[in-house]
Amino acid sequence: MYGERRQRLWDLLVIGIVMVYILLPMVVLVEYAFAEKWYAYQLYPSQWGLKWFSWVFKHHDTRMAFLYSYTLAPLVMLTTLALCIPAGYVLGTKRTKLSIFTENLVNMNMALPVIVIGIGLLPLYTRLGLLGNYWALIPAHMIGAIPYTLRSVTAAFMQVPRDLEEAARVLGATKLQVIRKVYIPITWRGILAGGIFAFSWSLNEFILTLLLGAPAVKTLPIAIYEYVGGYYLTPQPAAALSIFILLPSIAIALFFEKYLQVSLGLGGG
Amino acid sequence: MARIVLKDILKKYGKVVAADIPHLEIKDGEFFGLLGPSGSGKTTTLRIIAGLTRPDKGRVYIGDEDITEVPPEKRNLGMVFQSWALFPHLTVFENIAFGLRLRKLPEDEIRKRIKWATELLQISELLNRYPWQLSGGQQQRVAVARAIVLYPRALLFDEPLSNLDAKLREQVRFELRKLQKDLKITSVYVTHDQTEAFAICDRIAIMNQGRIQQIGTPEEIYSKPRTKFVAEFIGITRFIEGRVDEIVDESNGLIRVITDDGLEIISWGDLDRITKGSKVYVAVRPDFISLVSRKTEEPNVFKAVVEMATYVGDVMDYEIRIGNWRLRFKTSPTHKFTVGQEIYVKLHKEKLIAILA
Repeated sequence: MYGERRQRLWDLLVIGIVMVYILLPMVVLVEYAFAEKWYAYQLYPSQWGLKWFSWVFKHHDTRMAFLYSYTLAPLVMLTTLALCIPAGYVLGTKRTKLSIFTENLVNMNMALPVIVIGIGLLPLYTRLGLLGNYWALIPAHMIGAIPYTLRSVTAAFMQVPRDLEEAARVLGATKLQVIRKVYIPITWRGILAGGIFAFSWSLNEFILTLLLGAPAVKTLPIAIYEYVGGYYLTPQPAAALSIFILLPSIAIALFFEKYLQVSLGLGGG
Repeated sequence: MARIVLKDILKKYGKVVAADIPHLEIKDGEFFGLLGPSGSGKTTTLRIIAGLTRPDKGRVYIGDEDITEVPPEKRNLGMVFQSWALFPHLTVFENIAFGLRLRKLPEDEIRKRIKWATELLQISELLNRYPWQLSGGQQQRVAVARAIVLYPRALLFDEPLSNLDAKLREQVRFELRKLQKDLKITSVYVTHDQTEAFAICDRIAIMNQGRIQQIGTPEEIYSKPRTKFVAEFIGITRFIEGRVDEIVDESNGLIRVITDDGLEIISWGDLDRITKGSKVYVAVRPDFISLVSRKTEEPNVFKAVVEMATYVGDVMDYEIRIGNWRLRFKTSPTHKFTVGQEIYVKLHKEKLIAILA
């Protein structure tokens, strides 16, 4: 009996540590974002409100950051999908040596530090005169997004039996019609998951945007960073802004769990 | 509806010959079988007809049209796959309508054709279901319906019954044959199952290692196999090796074969290919052997020893030995012999088949 109770306590402790780890930063973030009065001796704020939200929106830079972030993310999602759907079809259905090599190369890119890619792109962008160009950030964001999206889309395509493609061909479908009428309707979950990966990658992207876009184009992560990384520390507006990156992320996670029935980590179709 | 002709077809995968067919003609309205073990090239041949595999060399004709360069979607063929390949995201109705919609047929024509096909295959009540809600037998019918609504020039079947259980398979065999005869569509049927090919097909090509060994009606293939492979592949066949000693009866093709261990056997043989002195295999099947009560002076009567006895319900299945040769032999269960028992058997000379070694 005694041993069983001790075991349960032990389980709770372990789970508790994990929970604290995951939730603590978010709790602090929410507290800072919504705190209007909070003295150092208090455990939590004495007055809550949206003061910091209206404060950040007064700044033109911040408003532009919103515009940039929330237009870049869907654009990056669409362009990444436009590339990854045909590429995923090739990699997923034709398992040649070249396919597997490409896949390994792309996967390697996932492990590559983004700063390395940034340093590679910086002189290129400088030479092409693309520094600070909003549109030029789309391909930059795609570099980081492609491995995740491509993996998800390829995995989805791989699960479609080859017979279906051949049956469709014999029934009169061209190669393009096979992709449109067979592969996409069957793999839409994996494609959507891949699109969402690209969306959230772009929303979170910091280093490449800082190197190639700033100071002309500043997205939300850069705006947030400037509130805490400059000469003065203002965690409250930074926290308020962070909510706008946190919320879509939570929405995406819930969406994955509920409707796609795939875990974010697996990303299959 | 038309005949299908393959000419000088060659398909290799690396160094392996997947199909090497100098000439094959499938007649208009015929139910034609491609029979062989796995890897014999039968599926490759079917896929070449469908346009799913490109031959390295040779031409494919349907009717008088050379379709070698025509992509599969423009060949207007119907194909039923081993897995049936129903689209999981579409209902039965939309699965069958798939090809019709691609051809942009008017909606009432689509409905009319689907009504015709589903009534023919008795699946009218399944139209709103999804493939995963269907049994194997139902899926197979939907796959056939999907192929025939296009009024294809020919139907291609790639082992369409191998995923069904044995009882259902037998029933569907006869239905398929009846359907094909009613529609009179030239059909090619790939299978590794001899019984299935025999029950369904008008003519059969036996394939091995990418090459056609023999083409003929089921009767011809069974009773007059031309190669050892064909004889071995069809039925339960054992061989007795020997040399032709004498042509006994030229008009009926009877020869006397003498084995190394001194057995004298009178057998049928194809005298166009076999001459005195030829080395031959005499093919013996269970139904070529019958029981006799005692040793007589008649030819082809031998003493045999029972080596193995198996009871399989309606028959007794024996392995017997004559001299050095082991044969299979079946009797009704009323004749029960024990292992080691000596019996007398007669090999029917007009059934035995001597094949050139």
